[in-house]
Amino acid sequence: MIAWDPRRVRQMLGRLALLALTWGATASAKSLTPGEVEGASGPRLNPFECQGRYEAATGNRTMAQVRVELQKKFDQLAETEPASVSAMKYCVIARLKQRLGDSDAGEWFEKAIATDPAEPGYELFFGLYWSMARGARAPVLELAETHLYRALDKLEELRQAGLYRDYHQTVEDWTKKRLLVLYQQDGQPLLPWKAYEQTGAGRLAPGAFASAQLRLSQDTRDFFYNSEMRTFTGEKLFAQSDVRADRPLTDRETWDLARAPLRGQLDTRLRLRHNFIGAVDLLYSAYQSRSGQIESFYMPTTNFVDVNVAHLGAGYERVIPLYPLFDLRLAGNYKRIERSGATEFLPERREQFDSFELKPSFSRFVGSDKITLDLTYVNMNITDLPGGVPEQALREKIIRGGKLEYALYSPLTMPAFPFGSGEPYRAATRGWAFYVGALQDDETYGVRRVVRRDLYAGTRFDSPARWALQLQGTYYQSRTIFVDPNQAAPQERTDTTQNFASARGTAIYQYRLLDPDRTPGIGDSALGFAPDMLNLVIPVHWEAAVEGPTDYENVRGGAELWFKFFQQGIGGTAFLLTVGYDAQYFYNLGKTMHLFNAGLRMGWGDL
Amino acid sequence: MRPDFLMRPLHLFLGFLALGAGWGGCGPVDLAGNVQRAGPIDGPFAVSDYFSQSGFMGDGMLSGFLTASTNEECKARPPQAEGNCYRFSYELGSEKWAGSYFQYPANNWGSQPGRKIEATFQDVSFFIAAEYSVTLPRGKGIGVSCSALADCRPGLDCDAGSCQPARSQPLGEHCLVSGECQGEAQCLAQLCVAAGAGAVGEACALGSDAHCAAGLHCGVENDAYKCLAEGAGDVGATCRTRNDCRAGLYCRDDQCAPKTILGPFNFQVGGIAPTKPGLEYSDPIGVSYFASGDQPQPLVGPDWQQFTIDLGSAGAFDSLIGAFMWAVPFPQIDVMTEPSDYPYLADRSQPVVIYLDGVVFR
Repeated sequence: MIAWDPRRVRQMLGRLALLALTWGATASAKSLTPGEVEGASGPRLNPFECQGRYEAATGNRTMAQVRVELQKKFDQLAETEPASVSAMKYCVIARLKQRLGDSDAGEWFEKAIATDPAEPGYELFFGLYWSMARGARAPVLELAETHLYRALDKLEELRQAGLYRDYHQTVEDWTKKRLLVLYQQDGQPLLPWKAYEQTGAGRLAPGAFASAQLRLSQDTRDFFYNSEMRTFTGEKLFAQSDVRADRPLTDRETWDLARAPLRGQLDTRLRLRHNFIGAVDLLYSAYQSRSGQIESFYMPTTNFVDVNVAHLGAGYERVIPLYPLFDLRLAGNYKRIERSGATEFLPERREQFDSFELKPSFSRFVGSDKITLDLTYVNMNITDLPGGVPEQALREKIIRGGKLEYALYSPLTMPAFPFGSGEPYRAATRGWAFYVGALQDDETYGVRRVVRRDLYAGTRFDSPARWALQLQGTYYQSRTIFVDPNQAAPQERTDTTQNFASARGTAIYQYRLLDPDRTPGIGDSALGFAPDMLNLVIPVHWEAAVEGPTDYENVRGGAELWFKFFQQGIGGTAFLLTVGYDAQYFYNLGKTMHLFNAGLRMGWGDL
Repeated sequence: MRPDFLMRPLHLFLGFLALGAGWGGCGPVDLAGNVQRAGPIDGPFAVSDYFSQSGFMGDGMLSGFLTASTNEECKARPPQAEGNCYRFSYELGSEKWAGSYFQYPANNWGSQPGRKIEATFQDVSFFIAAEYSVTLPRGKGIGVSCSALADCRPGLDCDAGSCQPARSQPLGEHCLVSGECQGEAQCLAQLCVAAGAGAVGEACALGSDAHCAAGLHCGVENDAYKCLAEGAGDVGATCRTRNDCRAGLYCRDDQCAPKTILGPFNFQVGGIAPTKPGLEYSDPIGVSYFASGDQPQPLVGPDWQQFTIDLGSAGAFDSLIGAFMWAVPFPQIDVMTEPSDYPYLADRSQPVVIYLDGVVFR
């Protein structure tokens, strides 16, 4: 009995249509004489034949089977073939090698380009390789744009030679869309060369982009997604400690500590980009939380004060391919920070200090899968407490983190339960990632140090359909260590009254109401704005104590909408609009809080 | 080593893991490295090097009434002052007094042991100065045109069309400048007192006009207090130094202002003891300046004044929680009797400013 799975039918029809398109185009190109094609002998081929053959060789196949298909493609190479045919075959090999994660895929793309140098489609596919397959947390932008701009150059040459075919319009649309996506995090182009609609002149021209992110929230957690349970519990334990109130907090005080101040943050960035250099950023940011900070832990809920933070800084980012080792993303910044409201007892005190941040990422294919290591190091040289005892005045905050992710991109055998018979089918997912990570935040107060550790593990499954699911468990631990200067040889000891730990379970369901991958080119626009993505995100969290007070255990759930659209009128800018609502219930306090967040981003950094 | 070796998944995974672990090693320095002198203190020391100026008391317990700044906005420091200098700004609260302890560790009221001390100390010395604003009486000041006595402020006459010092206030009555006092008198902290015998060029201790003969004031010459002819500046006149102001006034924030005296102060070394259950540590000594001799509780003017607390009678001690404490009432509130016609009350809307410097154990 044949089970008609609608998804499989759609995939098959799509492939047939693509094959028909490429074959038809190839047939029409056969009317050209070899001499009409500059740089390659043989018939003028539609480069999407490479795409069609690639899809035919990978559809419903395991990676081992794809490897066999690749071997067949090698066997099919013949020295007597016209160059344009060889180029197409090289392209198919390159695509298969890309799929298999072979580190020499690029060499085959180069071979295809060298064999048929007039064909812009191979430049597009090579550009897609650098922008979608390679890289570490970010594409190898400089190489991607090099080939995408070359594709535009070649398209223009074909146009001028009268050899521009209908399918070249698709190549052009894909190329321009990919360039748009490549720069989408950069923001609004200020110079014309890298702005939409791009031309081949953009490759070596400098780019300047302005980006801005405005975020507002009334939330128990900050914009860094810290654990609110840990924040409130830490505040309570410190207030109760013998160096502050030295008494148990009242029920009312415990209740009042769970708060959701209004927060706002504006991040602006001027990004200068050049193919030889990478991206250099000038940064300015302003942040305020209204009545969010405890003024005195002696009376922790008597007065909450505003916190204002502004910084000016500079940053650098570039992904460097270091295969056969790995791709390396270099990212870092320096900021000069001015802050007020963060010093206990002195809400008016303005601190000025430096902050350094390094965020390298290392990524490499393991077969068709990908392993990525993200590292984070932040050193905030917070202003020492003025005039205090030297050994008690030192302030410093160092954050170290690492996340190791293994992402499966192999096709998976999956149940087809939504509409079909339940017969399993094999499909290429958008990735199934498994990750573990650790983060340690050491904040030093003279001879005392608060050590916060996060240990987490999770998985994110991007289904071949419209949905994705992320599950994560996080273990939060907080310790305070100190040394006693009275000792001739001071040893680090733990202040056990400040110990606590908690665990959080998170599930995030995401559904693509509008799927950007279904529109390779630019979608239809209205008033110069083209919607690109609309996601419904449903996050659910549960947080419970492992050690220490249980007051702030809670459950939280809500919904968010993420809407991305392109403005095509002035240079092509990506906007991301997010709005969300959460309800949070602190069940041991019997307290329910309604939380809101919204953000508008024109260009963005790490989300 | 061939790159292929690194391409094996397990090796790659282990390599990344090692890289992450190495990264994790880039942490903060050992806390012990922050200790400037480990073990007991064994020689003369500045209190601010080991004890935190943290234990705010009285009105200082509530935020916003007692504000301290350290090594900022200090008065010109006394010669050879050691340690930090402090400026306290005290605004009147419901307690009507304020004070501050230097504690080890910060905010320790007996919940933790104090700083160990090995040496024997003879005394604790320190410099202190204080100033506040007074509410000025109604009426015009010196040199301002007038048509009748009532136009001028108390203590001034309307003489030949302008207000002039009347030299009419007997000893013990209130004044702003010495010229308002009768006979051989000086105006000291808004009260007429007998003038001293200091002639021009003679030293006048503590910057006090009371050491100088009538018609002179205690000015500054070659960085030393000396009796000099008084200046011409009345209250509110612009000045560069105290020499520009009349006797009874001094130059504060570039304006001649009434010279005030704040007190009585309480100074103490040690003295922290458990005040509630759960506090188990206390200071082995508690020596206050008042208790150490026959001297009255001190009053402090706007010029540096050095005090010494004798520790000789306190006996040996091996640790301290509270190394030094000062406390003072807000001026003329529940401390001094206010005459019904008392014209020169402290301006309650303005903070009292207290300067502290060079608190040293020897």
